[in-house]
Amino acid sequence: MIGGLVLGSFVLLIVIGVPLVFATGLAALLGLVLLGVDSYIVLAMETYEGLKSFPLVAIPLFLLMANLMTVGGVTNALVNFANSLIGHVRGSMAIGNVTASTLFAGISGSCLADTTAVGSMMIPAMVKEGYPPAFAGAVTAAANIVGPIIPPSILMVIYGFAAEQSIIKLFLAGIIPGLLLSIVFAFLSVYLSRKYNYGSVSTRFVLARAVEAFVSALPALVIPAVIVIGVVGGVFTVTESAGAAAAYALGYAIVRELYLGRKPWRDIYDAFMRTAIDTGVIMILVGAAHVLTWVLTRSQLPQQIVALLDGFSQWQTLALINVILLILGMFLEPAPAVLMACALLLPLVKSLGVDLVHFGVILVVNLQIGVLTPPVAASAFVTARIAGITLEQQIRALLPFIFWGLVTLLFITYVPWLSLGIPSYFD
Amino acid sequence: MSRILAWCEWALNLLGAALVAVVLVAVCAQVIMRYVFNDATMWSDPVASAAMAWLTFVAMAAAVRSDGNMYVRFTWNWLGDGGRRIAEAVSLVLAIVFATALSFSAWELMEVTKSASVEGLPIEVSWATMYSIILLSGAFVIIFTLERVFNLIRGAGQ
Repeated sequence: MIGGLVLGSFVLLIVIGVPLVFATGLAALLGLVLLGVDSYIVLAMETYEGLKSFPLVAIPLFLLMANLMTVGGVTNALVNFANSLIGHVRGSMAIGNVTASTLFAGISGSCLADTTAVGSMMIPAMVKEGYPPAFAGAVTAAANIVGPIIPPSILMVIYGFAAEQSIIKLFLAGIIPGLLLSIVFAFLSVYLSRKYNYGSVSTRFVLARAVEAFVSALPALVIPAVIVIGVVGGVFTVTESAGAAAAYALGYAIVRELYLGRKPWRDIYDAFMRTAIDTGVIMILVGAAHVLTWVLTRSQLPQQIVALLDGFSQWQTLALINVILLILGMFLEPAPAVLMACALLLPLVKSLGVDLVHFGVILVVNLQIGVLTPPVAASAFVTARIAGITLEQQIRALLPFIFWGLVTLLFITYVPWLSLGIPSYFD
Repeated sequence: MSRILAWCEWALNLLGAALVAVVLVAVCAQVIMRYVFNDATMWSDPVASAAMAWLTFVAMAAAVRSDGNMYVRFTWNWLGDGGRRIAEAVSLVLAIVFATALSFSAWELMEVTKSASVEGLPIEVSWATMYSIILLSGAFVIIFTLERVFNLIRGAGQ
């Protein structure tokens, strides 16, 4: 009863437009009142406790790395490299967009940052090559949902913290599902480009150009490899790997800008400032959601959900969980949605015997597809703005990508090997 | 008044950027100490974690002034100008309610923990000092939100 009221008030506050941090905090406060706690100290203490975790320190460092690499002109280099590889087939810029987004996923791990960075370059370029703006925006928005699935991933860090799972196993688990989604979107882009005769074939494959583009992109391409190999090889913890990657990005930005005769200090300061703001906006939700989780756990709501679904088979319950997560992703930003889903569904998932690393991947893929779907559709909103079209036009162009994203999600859900294959190899 | 608050926002953002640097230095120091000096640091974990917690509260407060915190406002598209203004006013009042509750909670927490020290830091710091950032952040959220309420009322009056 208390859990239902808390959840209901949370939804109501979000619907009326209260910022998520205050909606989460107020719902938790209501829960504390209804639970009749002795002292409200728990509100401040649990918020702080939710942030005071060393693995979570990886989040500002990954954000800093991405912001510093952008100062170092990495977006341009990755897009050029992707286009140099496949610029000679129809739909090449669409595949180039998907490839650049997949490569970018390896350095950022934040969907909206990737969408903005890649989209602001690729969408105008695709439109210039004869692709409709809505299609160019749709390819960009869809391709960038892989950002938080392929390592490094901020969402995986948050999930690992909430579900007490190994973050490196989660990173490894995201590799095949992320690449699978990229391949599906690349094929779909080519199919649609050929069917509707989008774009022109203006370039041919030139090995020298591809090699030159590869060398330019190499400083960025090594980052995901360094993170994964460094952590799997026992050289770093995940947080340390994020620190090393951020320090590397800082060095790269300074050296590159000085080499080009530019002073990088202002841009570097801006990158630190932007990181602070991005971190604050994401992490305060983690803190507030920590209090809400505390309240929901004590209200026994997760146990009531387990009891409610008693008697359903594993595949039926997983299907139902997917629907719940998709709805959650349609309304909530992925970071708080991960924490909310953990608070509500982890006992149920554990009772089903589903591997929690596998569930982490299912959760993140679901929430990322939610980023494309209305009413919130944050990614679609960004690409529509860049492409200069309405949100409705963007959503319509996204429908085939959402459909095939959902089909891929079914594979990821019901074929656990896709997620667990690589992590089990490193056991 | 607006200029003073703009300066406060700038100072909070500057502090946030400095705390990001502290996080970076603390984590890198851990790696360097281990591999270069073959010596494990005790302080880098708690310093990095504390700097991130502080950074979060500082940046969240600064984001209130620029309306930078995340929200879902698709329902506002269905409202007219007046309805939107009312929804924004409700949202701002609720933000003040939460920030006030958080500040009181932090004050109580500081009272309870003022004699307890944080373990692992290079200097002695009480938990009350660590938690003081919540109080400071709550106070700035209230001040910045009141400024926005004032601007909203002034905008409606024009």
